[in-house]
Amino acid sequence: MTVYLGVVISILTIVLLLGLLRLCVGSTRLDLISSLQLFGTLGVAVMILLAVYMDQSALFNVALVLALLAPTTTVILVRLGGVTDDEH
Amino acid sequence: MIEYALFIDLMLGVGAVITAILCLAIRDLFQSILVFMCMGLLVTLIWARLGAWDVAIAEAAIGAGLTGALLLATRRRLMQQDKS
Repeated sequence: MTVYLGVVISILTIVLLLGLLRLCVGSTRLDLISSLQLFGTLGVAVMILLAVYMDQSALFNVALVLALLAPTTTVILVRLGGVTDDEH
Repeated sequence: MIEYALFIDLMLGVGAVITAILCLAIRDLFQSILVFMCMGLLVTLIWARLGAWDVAIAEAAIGAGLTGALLLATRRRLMQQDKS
């Protein structure tokens, strides 16, 4: 079970770094915001799996804070980021 | 067993360093702020790996969320100043 969790967390971390590659290669702003959402979701997933992997239940609270923060960040980005309609 | 833990730590550390370099290298301000937020998330995962869960909560709330929002508001105010 521990080996299985280690493999799954490793794969998710690799996917996180691939999402970073999408973030640094220039694209439209909507792509950037979507990739930030991917980062938030993957962060929550890795955090929950780490809480089981390290046998430390306090990390569930960190995952809760991250899941609360990701949609708020998106709303702030859309309100303040100046994303206009002509950038499809 | 221990190799997977080492691999995860290595990936997170390398990713945090790469994001910190990219944050300074990218010219576009909006993209740079987003990369900064991603660096905050990676550092949160690193704190969680180190076992400091309260520091991880503080980093997630302040380092990624609040600082990113403040930087975005500052950028918008600077753009309004440039227009006027």
